[in-house]
Amino acid sequence: MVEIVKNVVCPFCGCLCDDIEIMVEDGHIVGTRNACRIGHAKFMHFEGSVRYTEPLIRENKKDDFKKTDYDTAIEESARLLVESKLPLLYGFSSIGCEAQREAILIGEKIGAIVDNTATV
Amino acid sequence: MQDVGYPVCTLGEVKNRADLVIFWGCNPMHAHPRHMGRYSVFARGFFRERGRRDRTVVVVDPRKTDTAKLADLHLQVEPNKDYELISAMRAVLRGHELNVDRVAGVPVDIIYEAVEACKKAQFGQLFFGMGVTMSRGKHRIIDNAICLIIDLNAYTKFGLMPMRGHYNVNGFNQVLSWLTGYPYAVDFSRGYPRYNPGETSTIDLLVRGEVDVMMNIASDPGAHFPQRAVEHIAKIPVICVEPHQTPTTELSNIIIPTAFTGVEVGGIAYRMDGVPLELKKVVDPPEGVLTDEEVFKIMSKKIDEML
Ligand code: SF4
Repeated sequence: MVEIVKNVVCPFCGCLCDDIEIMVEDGHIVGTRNACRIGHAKFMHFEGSVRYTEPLIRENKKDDFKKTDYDTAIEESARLLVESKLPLLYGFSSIGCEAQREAILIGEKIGAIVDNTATV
Repeated sequence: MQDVGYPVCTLGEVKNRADLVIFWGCNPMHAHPRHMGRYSVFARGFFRERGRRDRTVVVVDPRKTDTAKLADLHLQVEPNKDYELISAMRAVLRGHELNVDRVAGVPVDIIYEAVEACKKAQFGQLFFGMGVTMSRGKHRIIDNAICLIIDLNAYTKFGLMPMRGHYNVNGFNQVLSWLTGYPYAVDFSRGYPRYNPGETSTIDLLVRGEVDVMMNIASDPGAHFPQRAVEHIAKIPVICVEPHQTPTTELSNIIIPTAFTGVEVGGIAYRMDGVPLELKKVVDPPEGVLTDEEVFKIMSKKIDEML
């Protein structure tokens, strides 16, 4: 059964077109309506070529990644950030405002630089 | 931009009122394919019932882009000469004569024509993109463009708006502004927010090698930053909070995957004109994958325990 989700906002450029219809079958996106070719292509293949589903970690950048669990990955990240003299939190442009707020508050706690892609 | 302020309006106003639209250093035909159809050029608005025929389109771009091809006027500015062109337009607007044949590669009669069209418009709107913000002079160019808009407002109504690439660039600037008073490049290292682009901005800090850990959130500096900045990223511990494999995750020590906002989890995002919209959850994330918000909440707790 194809289910149609209406009035979806497209999260693939600053236009945020809010009239997209998405066809969903068995929990997978099978089609779109109203989206442009960028939006359509991204909705259809948003999982990209390689999608991570488990946290990965490595001590040395020359080593291969090892699978780990969220708790360990987040704990290690927290340790790196806390021990750092001047940490940098960068990006933020492709996540929701609620998550942006949480991350900025982390930046305040650890005395970090908080910045994004925009220079204007 | 923070030095002079700037006039804003919503895309709805552009759709209903604008009879002159300038695209400066951006190519919406490719980067924002529905922009012209929904809001700015072809859209049929309340006072612009005939859509495209009720609007004049001016494009400023060194290249003959697809957007430039459908413009009424194309100012083919030489690369990195945007500042000069804006200054020339301001001079003409103030009644000065240009005693040369070309400014920044653009024949002066086209400059006169463009300024005349701007003055005659009932409601003008300037959209600018990476082509401006990345060309030589950067935010000084924007300041100058804002001054042009201020000058134009002596004759008619005119606004300007950056063409945001990623969907929630604006949201971050909004959230950071209401938390700290500054839109980006905020330095908390002294215990209070400080803002001084050039000193507290990412690329400068990386090039000078001043930061010693980087947490990279859903973006790919590894692919877009200058060489020397990337070299520093390669040296320091890097954490990536990111759903996909990117050149930056290849340089990282920890990868924390998250659900894809706007597809697998809802949330708020700000459109390029500052209108907040609610993103929807359409499908479930892969089993066990947390959202960005959940990851940062857990991290925040752990940091509290360590501090
Ligand atoms: S449908 Fe196209 S123009 Fe609209 S937000 Fe998505 S990518 Fe941008």
